[in-house]
Amino acid sequence: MSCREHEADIVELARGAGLDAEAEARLRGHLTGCAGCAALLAREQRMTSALREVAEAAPQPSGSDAIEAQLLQAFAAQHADESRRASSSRRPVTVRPAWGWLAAAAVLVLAAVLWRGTDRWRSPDGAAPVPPDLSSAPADTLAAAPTAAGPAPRRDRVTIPAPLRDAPPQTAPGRAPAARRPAQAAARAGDDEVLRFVSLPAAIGLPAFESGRIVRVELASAVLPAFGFDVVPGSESGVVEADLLIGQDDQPRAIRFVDLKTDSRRRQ
Amino acid sequence: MPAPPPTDQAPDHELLTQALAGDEQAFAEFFRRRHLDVFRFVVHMTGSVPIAEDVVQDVFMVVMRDGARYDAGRATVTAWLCGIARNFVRRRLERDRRLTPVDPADEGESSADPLSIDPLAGLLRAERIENLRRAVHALPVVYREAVVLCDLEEMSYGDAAAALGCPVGTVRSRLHRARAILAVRLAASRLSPAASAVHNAGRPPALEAGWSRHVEEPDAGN
Repeated sequence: MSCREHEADIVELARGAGLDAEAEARLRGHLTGCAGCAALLAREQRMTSALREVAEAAPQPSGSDAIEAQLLQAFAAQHADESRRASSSRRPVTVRPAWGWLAAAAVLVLAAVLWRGTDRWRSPDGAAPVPPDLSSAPADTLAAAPTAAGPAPRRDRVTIPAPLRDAPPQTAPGRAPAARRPAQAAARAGDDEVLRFVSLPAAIGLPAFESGRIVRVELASAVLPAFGFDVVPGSESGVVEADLLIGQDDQPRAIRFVDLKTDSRRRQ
Repeated sequence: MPAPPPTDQAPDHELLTQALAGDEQAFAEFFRRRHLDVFRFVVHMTGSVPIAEDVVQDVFMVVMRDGARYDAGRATVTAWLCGIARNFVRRRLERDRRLTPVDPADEGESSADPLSIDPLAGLLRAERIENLRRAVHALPVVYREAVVLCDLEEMSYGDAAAALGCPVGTVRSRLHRARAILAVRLAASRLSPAASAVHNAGRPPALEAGWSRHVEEPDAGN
């Protein structure tokens, strides 16, 4: 065999990969009489050692815990969504057509508020403030969506009770099947459902969730009806802290309520 | 019917099955067990810690969504994950040309005889690692993938072939070719210090100085 024909076996021998006994014996016989191939073997052995050093010197991730936390949130959201779809597939859907308007409205509210930064919203005529203050959310987290006008849609409603203001973090309304009962009950300590993401009406009709990120925002209670939630009279001036699950297309898919703040806690 | 093993002892594919059934603890354990494999593959391919962390997240989002596609008969879980990561890496490299090595030299074309000069002899360990890391990062992608999977991650040819979607023989020949290119380039850089500068032209400073922990700046053009 020529030197060239031995090259592949030399590399494999240097890598520590197993050669069959016959091939190794043949190669070692060649190496005893061929300085060039012996030099090649020595170089390849040093290359193998050096590559192992490079492998050992690889950096470690610094954000594994954060990545894991985000993935677990997405995992919970996905399975909550699957549960919701499974349950909704067992009953007739009568409100679906109305969600289109609501979806556009909800996305518009979020997008516009995010772009406005810390400014408080005002109604078009400049009269009463239309609250949401999402100043804590990065401006590039949501994309604006086309608007559409139409009559007020019918909605599944979840009531956010006034006592929730004083509830500890991680107490927020759940949705289907919790949507059919008072959120007060869902907010009791130990009820896992309150920790889960709730699909946004805006997510209906969007492409399947593939990947995304979670963005912490503050929403004025007054805009919650746009998401299909009722607000108990007297708590409209509060601020709800929530996590939005943003999909691969920058469209929000789900929301998880974290805390409800009163006016006194609101940032100026 | 026997109870399933605890998540920390279950084989990867069982853990994955449990996770796909909605077991959050199984998913968490699966992530903890395998995310470093993905991270190392990506960081060796790109030289960037932030990109590697992004891709880790992307890969496990795919697992969450499409994990049922995993076929234990075709590849190990690690090979499958690296195959997914490879697609993200290629997209990132396509999107961000700054991370694609711009190498004016044809692969392996050099007047340096790799056998006449030992490219790694006489260097301090840190120098040796840095020189070789740069050289690996400057390899064309197909050769870099082979070196990273087979030599740095010590994956079998079969698993590497599954991750790369090509025959085993192709992986082996790419790896041998890659090692030959590395030897030639390292020899050239030993002969001429300027040569390494030429090889590294066009790459971001962070990559010149070692592993990049810089967060990418938004690409104004896109």
